[in-house]
Amino acid sequence: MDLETFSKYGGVNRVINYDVCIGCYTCEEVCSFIHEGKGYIVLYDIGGGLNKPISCFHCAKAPCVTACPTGAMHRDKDGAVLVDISKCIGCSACLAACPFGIPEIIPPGFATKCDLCNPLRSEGLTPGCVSMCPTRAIVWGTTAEVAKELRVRALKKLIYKPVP
Amino acid sequence: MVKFLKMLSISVREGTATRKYPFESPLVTPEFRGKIEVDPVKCVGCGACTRICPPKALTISYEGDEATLKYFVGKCIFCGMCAYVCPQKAITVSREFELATWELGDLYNEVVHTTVKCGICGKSFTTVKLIKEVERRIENKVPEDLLEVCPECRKKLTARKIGSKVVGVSGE
Repeated sequence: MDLETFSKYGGVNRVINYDVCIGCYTCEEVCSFIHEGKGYIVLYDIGGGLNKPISCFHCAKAPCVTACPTGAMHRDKDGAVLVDISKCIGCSACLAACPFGIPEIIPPGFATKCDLCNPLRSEGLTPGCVSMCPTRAIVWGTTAEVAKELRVRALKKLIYKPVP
Repeated sequence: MVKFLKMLSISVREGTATRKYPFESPLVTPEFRGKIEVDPVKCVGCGACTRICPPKALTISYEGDEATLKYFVGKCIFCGMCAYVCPQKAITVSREFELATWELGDLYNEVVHTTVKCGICGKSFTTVKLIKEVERRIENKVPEDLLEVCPECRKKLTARKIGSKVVGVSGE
């Protein structure tokens, strides 16, 4: 799916609201539970002793999709970037291309990364990290929905700011 | 007895089917798969062939500044999977099958690549040619200095950027 179709379709997107995130490791645990011990959303030290989760951003102009020689790294109908393991040859081109270092090569010899919980989405459910986040820091939906939700949050932050 | 006579008539009609191989040229069909050949110019050292190879006749090892792709004929089962999987089409399956030798070293074939050292942790993680190839494919969308950082350090770098620009942690 190219960028134009992506924006026309209004593919799903996941944004982590780092102001709300408390760094509780729930998303990491849920992800590793769903993916049999391999978490694709991992918390990293951001400085100042705080930990925040980093996962695939499912870029609109994803370099991993462009770099993949076999078309294994593809965009599904919802707009999530995921690996088709039957096509992946494990050439590590996506590892070299990703500016955030997200894809990983796992032992049998193929790349793997966050697929926005493809089995759950096909049943009409939300990804594990989104539904389990205790502070609702992970916003998920179509691009328009995410933008609206983040605007509402920004506005609330302005209005309910405690008076010093 | 009658059966034997029947066979005899067929063999007389068809002639000799086998070849006196060492004295005659062997029967090698176009589909025949023999020893593989790795083109050192086309090969980028991505290691896709080493991952698919069923008997692990192809191996890649990182040592110092060099990544060596080693092909050992002794283990090869001539399946041609490596040639099928190679994204650069650097591997060709030849029809060479007379591979017996007195020297063990003749059974090895090596392609040496220069590795990229991570700009932050100093660990060598891929080859220079693979980075160049990826850069060509993605048409320089990713900053050049970021391509020379290993995936693990890229994640840490992203975390630091989030800390300083999004959350507003002053950091160290």
